[in-house]
Amino acid sequence: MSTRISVGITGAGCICGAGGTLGECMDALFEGIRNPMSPKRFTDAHPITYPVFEVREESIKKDIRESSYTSFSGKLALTAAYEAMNNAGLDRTVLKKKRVGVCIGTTVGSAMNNEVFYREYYRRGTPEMAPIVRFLRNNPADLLAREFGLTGPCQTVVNACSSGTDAVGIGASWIQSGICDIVIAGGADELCHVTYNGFISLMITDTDPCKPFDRDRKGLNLGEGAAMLILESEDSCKEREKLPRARVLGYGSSADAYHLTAPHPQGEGLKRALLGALQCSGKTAVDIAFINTHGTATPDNDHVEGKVLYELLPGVPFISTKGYTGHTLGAAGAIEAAFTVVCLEKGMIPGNAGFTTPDPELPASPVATTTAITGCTAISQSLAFGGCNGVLVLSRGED
Amino acid sequence: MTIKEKLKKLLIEELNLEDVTPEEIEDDAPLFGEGLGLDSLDAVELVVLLEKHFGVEVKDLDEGRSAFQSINTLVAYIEERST
Amino acid sequence: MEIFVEGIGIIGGFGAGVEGFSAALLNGKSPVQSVFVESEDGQKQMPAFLADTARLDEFVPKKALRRIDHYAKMALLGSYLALEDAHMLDIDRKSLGIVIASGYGASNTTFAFLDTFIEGSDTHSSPTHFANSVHNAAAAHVSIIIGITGPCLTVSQFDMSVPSALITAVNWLREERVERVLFGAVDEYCDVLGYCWRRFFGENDGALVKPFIFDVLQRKEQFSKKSHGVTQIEPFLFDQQTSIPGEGAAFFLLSRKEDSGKKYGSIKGVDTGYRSRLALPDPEHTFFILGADGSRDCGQRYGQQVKKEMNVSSYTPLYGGFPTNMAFDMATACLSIKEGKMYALPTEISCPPSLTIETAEKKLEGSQICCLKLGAQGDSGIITIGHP
Repeated sequence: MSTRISVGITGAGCICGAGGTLGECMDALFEGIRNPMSPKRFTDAHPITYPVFEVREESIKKDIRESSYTSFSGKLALTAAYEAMNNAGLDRTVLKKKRVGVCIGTTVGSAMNNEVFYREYYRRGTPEMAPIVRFLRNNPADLLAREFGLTGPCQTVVNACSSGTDAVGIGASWIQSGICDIVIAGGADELCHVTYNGFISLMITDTDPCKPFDRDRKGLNLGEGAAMLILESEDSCKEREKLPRARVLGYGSSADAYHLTAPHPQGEGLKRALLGALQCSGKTAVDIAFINTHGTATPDNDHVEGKVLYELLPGVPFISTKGYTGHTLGAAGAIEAAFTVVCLEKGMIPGNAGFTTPDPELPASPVATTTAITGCTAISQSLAFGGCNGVLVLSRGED
Repeated sequence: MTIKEKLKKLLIEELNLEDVTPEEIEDDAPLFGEGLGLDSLDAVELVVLLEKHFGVEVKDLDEGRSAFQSINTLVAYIEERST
Repeated sequence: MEIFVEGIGIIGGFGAGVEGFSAALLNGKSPVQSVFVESEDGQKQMPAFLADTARLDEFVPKKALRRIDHYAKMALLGSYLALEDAHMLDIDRKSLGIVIASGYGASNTTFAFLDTFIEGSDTHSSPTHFANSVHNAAAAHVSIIIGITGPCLTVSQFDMSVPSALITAVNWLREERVERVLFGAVDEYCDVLGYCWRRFFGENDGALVKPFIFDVLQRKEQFSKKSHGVTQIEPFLFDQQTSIPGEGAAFFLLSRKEDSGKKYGSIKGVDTGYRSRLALPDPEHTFFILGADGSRDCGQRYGQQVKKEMNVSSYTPLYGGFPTNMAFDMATACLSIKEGKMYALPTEISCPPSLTIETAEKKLEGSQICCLKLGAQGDSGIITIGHP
């Protein structure tokens, strides 16, 4: 039996292919707008184009956008963090008096795979070091700690595609155990040619806009973005007279111990993480208003996830928002947690973009159009390469 | 070297089959599951192998499924598609 | 709640297992290998501490390792050795979590993946290399091969990867999420890192040295004060560049169970963050193991933080410089608790009189051990190990 968690979320920010702020993203989701397009920031030699969800660079503030020392993942992280800070009513003066930690999920943001540098190394052996210096300066957690003058623990979570979910869960557990008063928790990841090639080579990338949970789904579209949540202790909220927008009530993590790239066929790992998160929250299936799934639109992922949800949370409405954002890898769990918070506030969930035909192999289908929800608790979950599963239980502020 | 010999050699190299010699790979034995014990990740690696070394493109795994049964089916698939 | 260290699995330039590591600590020496790195005038030889994973054959059939690279093999061997050392090879896999710290992740495979499409075309990108290039590939292989199904985390925080990851590992135990956590650190050497090392630090022969990380883009190139023919790390010569790259894995079986093995002591404190002044434990009852590893840019910070009243030592000359070598300091602290003594300083280390350095073996007499790691950018980490 693990410790109960109840940690306030006092601010949120998001930037991704769906919009430059959390508000813009939610408008797009509820209007059913999505903008997959061919990659603009890199060129590739694939015979077919695989659509991606890129961030509009104009959405990034000018001074951040033009910084040559900041990686694109770093710029996304900073943009979402500033929005979340403003939303929470925090500034450097307040932060200075508190023990503030930062916990961020990423994949590309922590990878030393700069292609310009390495192509030069491969060709001539002696490239210039600027890209490596940039890599060393742009660990996402370090970057935010330095930007905001934070003194608490920094943690960059690299659990592949569940990193964003795990970062939020870990940040909440730091607050619960009294290590920090405030944690900036989230995820940030940029699109790049290297991951584009990687996912295409795994043959799990769709050449059309992705269709999560649809019978004819062919795979994922990659995306990029960042989302940050401000997690805050009870005492700090009281002191600042701040009512949380939402709460983290539970977090569960597990390893499949099954396969490097394929999910466990019965979703045993996901079930353990789900049950762990529910147990941690003290909630049961009947309390859950909806589930924001991982829903990448790969045949395997959606199959396993659909089966597990039907088994453990039968009848609970579920959606994938990846039809609007693409798969933003290390940022995905954080972006989806931020979306979940807003959906709980609105009492509504958007339709699952890309879904038209139910899959006869799946016992349940996602919500196809904007739908009102009943209840104030929801689940946001992620599955990752290597069999990592991360699950969050989130609730509306007053609950 | 015949296509079959080349294929067996490449399978061992590119899929890092430990302690397996080309002679030990039976022409008709299943490649996946039982037999050689390949899995879904090997399947996509095999797609790259076919394109890289034989110039044969496998568009999706459904198409590959019947071809990926055994060495013999793979050789037939390659022969059918190479010019 | 007290968190105990039940077992240690460690591999590095000194060999594999606690025995090999203890021997290096007792002898004050560790064999150093050499590597070749690219430079403007051809390949240059450079010393490096490299790890060998041959002992993995004792635990895993070769066939099961066919897709596992050196990075994950080091983690896997570290994991098995830690379980074996704790006599826990038959441990219940469900109540076990995994937390892995890595500064650079699977560097070799990261670049090997790039090779596949640079050599050929984008359509030749290897999915196997891609899957193995993600930082959490080590945790994935460890969980798959050993069958661990508890919570799972990989952290990448450069020099602070170890204290950062340990905070969450300890927290998971305190939350009673799991009974035990297999906590480990792993980093590997690769040719590209060797090249970067040389570019940042020079040839260790008095050539131009570019300062690390922060200011390379702005600051003018500088000469290192003295780094002619360095063959050994000088941890206490804080203003000199004497580092030698290393690689390896250090894993610990951590437990919250009162009936745990307690020979390696327990974790008294762990902390990390950007702080100009650190809250260090009382120097009267504490020995300090400095994570100074001959990197001048970090060295300057030790110069500022380490006071005369602190009894200090350092063992980085036995395992080398790499982001997660603080886990090796932690292993040294655990072994010192077990033996009831601080190990003598590695041989032939320069000891400036401004510091209180313990050169000979010394009885602990109840003192705890604080591992102190300082990063070049103002980040710090502390791990304190003491008697249960």
